[in-house]
Amino acid sequence: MKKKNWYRSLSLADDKYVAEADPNNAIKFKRSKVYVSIMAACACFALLFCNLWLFIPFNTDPPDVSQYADSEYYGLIQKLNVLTFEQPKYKNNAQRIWRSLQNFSFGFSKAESDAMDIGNSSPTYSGDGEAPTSTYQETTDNQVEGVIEADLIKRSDTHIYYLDKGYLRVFSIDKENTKDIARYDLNQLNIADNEQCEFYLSSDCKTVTLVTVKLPSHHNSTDRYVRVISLDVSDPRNIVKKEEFSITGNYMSSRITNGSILLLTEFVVNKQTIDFDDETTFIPQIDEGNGPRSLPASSIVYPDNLFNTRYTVVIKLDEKTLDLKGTAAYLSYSEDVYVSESHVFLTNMFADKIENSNGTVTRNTMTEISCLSYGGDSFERKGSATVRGYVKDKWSMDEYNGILRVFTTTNATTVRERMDNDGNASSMSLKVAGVNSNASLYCIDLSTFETVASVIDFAPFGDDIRSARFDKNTAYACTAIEVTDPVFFFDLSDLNNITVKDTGTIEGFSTSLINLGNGYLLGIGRESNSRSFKVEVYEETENGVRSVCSYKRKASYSDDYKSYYVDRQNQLIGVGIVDYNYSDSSRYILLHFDGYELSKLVEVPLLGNTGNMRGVYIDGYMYMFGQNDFKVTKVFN
Amino acid sequence: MDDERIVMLYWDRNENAISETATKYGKYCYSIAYNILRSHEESEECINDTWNGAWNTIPPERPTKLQYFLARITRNIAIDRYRHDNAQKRDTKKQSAIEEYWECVPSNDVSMDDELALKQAIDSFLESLDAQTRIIFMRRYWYSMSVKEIARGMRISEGHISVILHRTRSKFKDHLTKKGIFI
Repeated sequence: MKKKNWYRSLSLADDKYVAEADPNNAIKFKRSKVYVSIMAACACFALLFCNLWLFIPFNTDPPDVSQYADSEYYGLIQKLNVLTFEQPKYKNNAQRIWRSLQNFSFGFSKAESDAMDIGNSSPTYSGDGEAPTSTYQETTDNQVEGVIEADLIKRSDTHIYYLDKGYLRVFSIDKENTKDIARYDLNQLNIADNEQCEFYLSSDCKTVTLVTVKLPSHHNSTDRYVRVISLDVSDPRNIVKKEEFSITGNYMSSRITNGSILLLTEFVVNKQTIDFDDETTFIPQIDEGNGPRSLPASSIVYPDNLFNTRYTVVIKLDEKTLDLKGTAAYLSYSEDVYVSESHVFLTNMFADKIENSNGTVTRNTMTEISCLSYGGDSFERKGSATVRGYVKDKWSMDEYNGILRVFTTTNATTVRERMDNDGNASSMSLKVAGVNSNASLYCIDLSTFETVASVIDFAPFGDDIRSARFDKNTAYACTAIEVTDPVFFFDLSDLNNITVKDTGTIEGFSTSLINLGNGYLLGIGRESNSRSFKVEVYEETENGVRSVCSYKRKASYSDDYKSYYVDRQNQLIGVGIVDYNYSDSSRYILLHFDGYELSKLVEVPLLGNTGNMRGVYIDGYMYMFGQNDFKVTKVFN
Repeated sequence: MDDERIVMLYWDRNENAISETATKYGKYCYSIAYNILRSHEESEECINDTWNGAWNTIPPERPTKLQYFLARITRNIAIDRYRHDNAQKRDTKKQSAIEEYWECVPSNDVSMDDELALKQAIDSFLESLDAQTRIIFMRRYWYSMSVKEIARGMRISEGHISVILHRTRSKFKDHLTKKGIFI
């Protein structure tokens, strides 16, 4: 056979092999035993791994922190460890996936659904550089006499200091000739335009103390801190930075009293970023200019039952040197703060649950008020009292003659609780009754922290506290559901016989109550709808409380009480408004109460946000300040 | 029409046998011819020769599997045509299955006239292979399919097919030597 014929020889192959290799036949090979075994083993392993992943229960115990036993913060670490540990929502991955599929497939969530225009000329200063000796004049309507609050405006008898957006501006007080004599750019202090800032003026009028919040540079960052910066303003042309103090956290409030600055800040421990190896993640850091350091463990107070991971930090600084004089950090106290002449009152809201016979649960809002004495060299915790309801703001608290008086909005919600798999109440509980709100007044003896008198549920059913004010033995409160309000007068001179009078239901409600003196009460608020502005004067009569007079217009205004100018001696009220008309122009108005009616003395256009507008009346002239704008108007001839 | 009746037509010398065969196996035989010749025209001529070959050999043959009987005729005719047409113009760029297969035989012409012994040697070699290798070998050298077509049909990479073919050719050569086919 020739070599060339060999290819033909393969045609001799048996038909079965030709048939087997027929391209039209689908090929199915038998896997080798080893291959099949390996595949089976892999499948078993995958199945085992899958089952482990699906059904191994999630860890429900907080991580072990015993390695920090030597730390001075060990007690705190233990508490935070429990509090910041997030219990898994599901028992295991299988349950988690199943719930996700349920939600996805059903397509809904189970959660229940609910003048004389002075203009804005550049600053001029014709003095010799050394300001004459000035006397401090209070401009802010402080809640407690002698306990000064920071504001956007302060003044001496010769100068007005106004914190404009990004600038500290200094004005001469010179009637029609008033000038913007100095403008200090806060960017020099690394304070951005959008950062909250307010200030104090020292009693000798030579130092301005700024309190500001440094916002984080990144949106997701929580790295914010409060700065206290003192400036030498003895020469307004040459304002110089003196001292600086800072603390990590958020600004709540501050006061100056008896030569000390009380700085109240809030520090939130982030559950996602807490790291017990890094104290900055769970201890507020203070910086006196020598670099940051943790608050000492001895100054941190934490109750047995922590409700949240937020601190309220109270810092006492020397007003002149900003030296640290004392610190107190209350973990889990995080609501409103009231500062009296000698005490700081911290509030903490929580829910008290009562199980009903029909299987429902009634949740009552409760507030624990803790009292901290700051008069001595160090802070001292005096005690605490618990009242029903929640406290709206600091104006709802007042200390007088050893008694703390508190207005609260009491509310109770009845729900049929849904339990999750761990037996905890679910956030998806079904509400079976509306919120039954009302208002109450409690009087607490600060020597025993016992409630010695109270007026429970004094308001119409469904009302809550919208504004409150205390004036020695008199208390005022305004309650409302929506746009109708009664205003209440309480005589607290005899706690065993508290008398209450009210206006009855009248149109509108007050967001701020201001005691004008002489038995008159001023309410600033809204009328029949949210686009109206109302100023109303009330007085007590033999049978109740009556509205004496009012001033109304369609305008918006700021709820910030510091933006109102109150002059009780001259019965003047200044407030910035924005008219609801085509121009939506912002204005400043000055009202006068003459014992019979409210009359408008001044109305001038003024640039800026109504919350940042300020006014002050000095010797017959009204000085008004807005954003890069100021006006001076003669009020009385 | 089933194969038995077609074979009966051949035995009855009924010319419908060719048309029935062409209807049933025309496409199959054409693909075998085309794989070798790579020419439509020549492939058509090849399968016409196949029908003539079948007409001339049945009877006396009575094939039990008409399909592979025809396939074998087609393959042999196509190889003869290929050899004739390409005697002077071998395509060196693309090695055909026939040229690959020559690697299995010695460089010198050999004498092997015992067709039965050769068939037994080939069948025993094929029997010794695993099914996958055997199919690859047969598709490449019996059906003359390209490596790419085999790879696509069997879902195996072309590289893997080439390696298998290379090893199997070596084995085949050794096997034939051991069987005394090459002297």
